Amino acid sequence: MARDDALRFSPSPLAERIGAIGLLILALAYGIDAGHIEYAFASDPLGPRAIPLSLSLFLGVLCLLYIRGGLGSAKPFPTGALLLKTLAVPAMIVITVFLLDLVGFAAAVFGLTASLGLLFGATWRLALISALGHAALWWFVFIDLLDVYLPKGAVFG
Amino acid sequence: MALDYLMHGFAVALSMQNLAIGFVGCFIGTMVGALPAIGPINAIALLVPIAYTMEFPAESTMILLASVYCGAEYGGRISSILLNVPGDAGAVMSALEGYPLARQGRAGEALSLSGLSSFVGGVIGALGLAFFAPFLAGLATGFGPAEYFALTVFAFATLGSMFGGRPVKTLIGCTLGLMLATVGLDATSGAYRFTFDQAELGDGIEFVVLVIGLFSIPEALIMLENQAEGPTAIKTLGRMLARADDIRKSAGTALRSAIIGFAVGVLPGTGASVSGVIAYMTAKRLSDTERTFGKGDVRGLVAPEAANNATACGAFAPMLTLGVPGSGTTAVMLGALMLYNIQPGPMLLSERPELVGGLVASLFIANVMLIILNLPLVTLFAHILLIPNWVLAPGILVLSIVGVYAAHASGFSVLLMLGIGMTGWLLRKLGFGMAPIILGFVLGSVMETNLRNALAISGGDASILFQSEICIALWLMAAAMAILPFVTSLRQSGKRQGSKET
Repeated sequence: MARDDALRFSPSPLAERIGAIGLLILALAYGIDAGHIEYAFASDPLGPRAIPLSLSLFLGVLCLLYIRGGLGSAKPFPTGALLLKTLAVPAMIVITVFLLDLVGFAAAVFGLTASLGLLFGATWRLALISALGHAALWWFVFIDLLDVYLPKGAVFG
Repeated sequence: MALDYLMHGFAVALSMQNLAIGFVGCFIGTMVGALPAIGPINAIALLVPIAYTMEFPAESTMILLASVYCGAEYGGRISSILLNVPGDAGAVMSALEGYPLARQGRAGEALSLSGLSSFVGGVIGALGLAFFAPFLAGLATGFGPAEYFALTVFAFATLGSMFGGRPVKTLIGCTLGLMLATVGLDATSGAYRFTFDQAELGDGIEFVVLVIGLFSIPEALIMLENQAEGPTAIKTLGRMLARADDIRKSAGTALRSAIIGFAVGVLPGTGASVSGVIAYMTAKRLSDTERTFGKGDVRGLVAPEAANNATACGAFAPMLTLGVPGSGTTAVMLGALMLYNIQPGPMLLSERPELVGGLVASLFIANVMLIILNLPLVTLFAHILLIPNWVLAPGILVLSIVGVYAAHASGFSVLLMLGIGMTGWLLRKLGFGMAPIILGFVLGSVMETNLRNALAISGGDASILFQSEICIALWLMAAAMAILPFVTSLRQSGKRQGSKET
């Protein structure tokens, strides 16, 4: 596994500035949406808009303070192959969620844990053995032991 | 009077059948608490119909459920310390110091010390319940919306101890938590806020979705990054028993936090997450003179653990004496009592002393069983750290997905958890802490609802927030907590100046 510094870029105020601007946009969007909250009546003098509007304003002010003087404590972000691997994790979770009802809990967990195992550096053989263990263990814990409802899958009945 | 019903209770709880039921409850509770996905409320909800079908007497059912509840509070610390993924709501703050300790190769010590502090918290909570429950429950009835609002202000005033040199980021995190708490149906006006026409968001964002998202997803991604850098230092376990020095150092913190936890538990509507936050921040405020909190300070681990176990006991006080549940879990237990045609309230102690006494006595017994069960298991739990990342990380993610999916049998919650998790990862990279977000979320809805209810009662007159003695006391305490950092820093700079002059 590569360990060189090229995997990451050094902490930069640019990333934080982008983050702060993102939060500022969030504050603005949240405030605009808060202004459009519809209600027929309110039994209290404040109503459902007052607190969200105040929070939007407060976050906006904090973001400006952040941009002005709070930068400088970000950690390095992954780049290149490591970034792709990092983004593969949420992608796999999304695929698993969509497969749950179709192939069922055991098969979906097998697929997820096998692919994650490979991502975390296991060999094909070890990843498949680990995935088999995961599928069996979690099936036993959640379905047999705790009686939690989990889909068995349309494909396997 | 208190001793009479307690003696009667011990006679009930020490029968062979109830001892066996209590042990099974403790074991199930520890396992359930250790799984980040399943909280005590789920386990108790599952066990109520089983106990009823098996025709357990009411006191045996309550002993089983109370043992599960206490066991879950003990078990929650395990995944917090070892994986940085809180096992339950009360263990969120335990990760802040427990995980750094595990990374330093002191996982065994952290587990055993937190087990001991859980024991202290549980026993003090049970003592409080036995002797002060009727008095405290009476005091809790004095808490109206204005008092609850003042209590949340007090909790926010302690936020200064979380700043850690980054006040703006801490406040942004807290505001984000408050914003997340506004999602869903506004009970006062019936308006849907920030739901974007998604029916799943109507009830707001579930605490479990937020906590699992903020902790487990970023943790798995950071494990992946560390994997790319080579092996990390976490694969050592260290000694398995707590050091005498650490026990001495943290004994006062454990006692104080247990008292805080019990008092918070007595208040209906608050819970282990709130008491954990208050106890941790109080410990940090009073003890962090060497700036070791956040880096694996044992006092920061002991504080929330003692508090959340004491809270679990305190939550029984309003349930048994007023018929008002102190937490979600005790609400389910209240339902279990009603299944037996028992109506909790002021008359319960005189009408069913064997039930109340048996329950209180079982809390003492459960805590003894739990410490006996937990300390020898420290070695077993700590070995989780020796599992390779390619087995451990997929396991964390499967637990997270199933825990969120199981709550609603819906993929939407998992995708929401993932979205929150990715945002949490970005925020962690930008140097934000996750604890202020949790604090804002936990206190947000309590704060808004009570402020608005108080103003509705007074017809918009804000003076209602300062009228009662409880309110005034809480405002004064909040002011003291807010001013304390400035006074401390002034004193420290004065001392530095003095030492320079000499």
